[in-house]
Amino acid sequence: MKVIKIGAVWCPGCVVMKPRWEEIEKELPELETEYFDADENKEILEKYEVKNLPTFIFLDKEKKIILKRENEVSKDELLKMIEENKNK
Amino acid sequence: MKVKFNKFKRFFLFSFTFFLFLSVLIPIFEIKAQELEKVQIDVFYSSTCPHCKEAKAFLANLDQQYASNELVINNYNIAEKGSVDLLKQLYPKYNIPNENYGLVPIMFVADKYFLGFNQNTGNTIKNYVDGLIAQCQEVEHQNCEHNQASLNPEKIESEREFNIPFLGKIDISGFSPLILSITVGTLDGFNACAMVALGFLLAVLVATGVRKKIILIGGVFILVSGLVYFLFISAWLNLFMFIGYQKYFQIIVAVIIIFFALAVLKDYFTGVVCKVCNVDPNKQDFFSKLQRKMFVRMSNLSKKEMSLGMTIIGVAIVAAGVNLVELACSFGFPLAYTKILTTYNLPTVQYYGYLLVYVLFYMIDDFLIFLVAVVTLKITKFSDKYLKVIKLISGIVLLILGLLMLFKPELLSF
Repeated sequence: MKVIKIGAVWCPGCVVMKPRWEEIEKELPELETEYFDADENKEILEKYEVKNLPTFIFLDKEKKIILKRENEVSKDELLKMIEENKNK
Repeated sequence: MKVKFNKFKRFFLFSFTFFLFLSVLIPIFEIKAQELEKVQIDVFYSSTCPHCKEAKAFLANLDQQYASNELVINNYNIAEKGSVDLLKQLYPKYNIPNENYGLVPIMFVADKYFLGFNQNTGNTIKNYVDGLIAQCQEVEHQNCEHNQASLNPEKIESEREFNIPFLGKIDISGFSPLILSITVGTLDGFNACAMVALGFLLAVLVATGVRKKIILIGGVFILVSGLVYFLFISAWLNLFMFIGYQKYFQIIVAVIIIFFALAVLKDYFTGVVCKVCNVDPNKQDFFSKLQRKMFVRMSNLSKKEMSLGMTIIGVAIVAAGVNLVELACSFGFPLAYTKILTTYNLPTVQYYGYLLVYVLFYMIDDFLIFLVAVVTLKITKFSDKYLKVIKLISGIVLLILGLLMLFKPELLSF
């Protein structure tokens, strides 16, 4: 499983989510994540039909979308989502 | 030839001045001589109060119904110091209770005074004036004033009580401008849209972990935000003071407030807490682009190492820009507040004092978030649940104010 994080410099929710993800990535070093800036990667916005920022997309091994979450999400909820999908 | 011309000029100038002098003085003497025989109505009014306008229109009409030597109406605008001084002399003479000081319109006729105005007041004044003129015609002029003074003093209180279904009678005479400023200011401030910029800036600053930076940049940002908002509501106040009371203008303002209230209520019922907080990255309209640009600038502020002076200037410019964009968040409350405030007929300094109170309470939530960020180096947010409840209350209050302004404007005149 891989998590795609899409955000922007100007987005308030992204600033809030950045340290939460940093903590999670530190706690779970095996977790694969990738960040895309919305202003620099327009094709990503189209590909995943992103309407709000930040957007977090959980992909399975075949790069298929497992789930998509928008805006601010609590750390606990993120950990739960990761736990449930980590083997997919 | 030249000398003659000068003499002619001097003569002409002298005559002109003399006649001008006379033309001004003679009517004054005439008026003074006649006024003793007339019934006089001294009306004190303000250009911003709706009842004053009705009272003045009624009196102008009344004036036309009598001969010019029977009735005289003196208008005093309480925005002028001379009028206020005269009014202060009249209060004790007519035994007017303190709590009614400053209320307009107030009309003094012989030994009665009439406070406030409605159709009943008009009829009572007319009957009273009729009685006075009839007496003056029956008796000698010199006894006329004596007869006026012998009438029993009587007053009419303006109606400052109204019925609200389920809540009963409410007396609004004690509703001070201070309470108005505090309640409306606080309601206006607890609005997610107006908090988003500060929340973003503090989040960026907290991420740096440098407390000094949070205090300096956050502090200047809050200060400039307050200043911009103060200027914004001052502009509304000055507009309303300048225009005064105009029926159609008031209707337009009321409709805008109702429209805004409905938009707030629609947001509440569709579950929207803050429209501008989440920007669609695909949106390319002017507002979205501007908002993004401002937030990028704010983000850069925390990253760049600048001198103290440059930091303050930079933050002030960005804060001013961001707040201008955020003015769109709160449009209804400042409009309703300043419109109602003008009806209190206060001295200018006091108006600005109340605007300051309004802004302080408008920013109380910002101070709280800022303080928590400085002390704990963490970001607090008001829970969406509370913000939604406040949204509902705000929508209802705005709707009531808008509807009252449209259908019962006299209840919002103080």
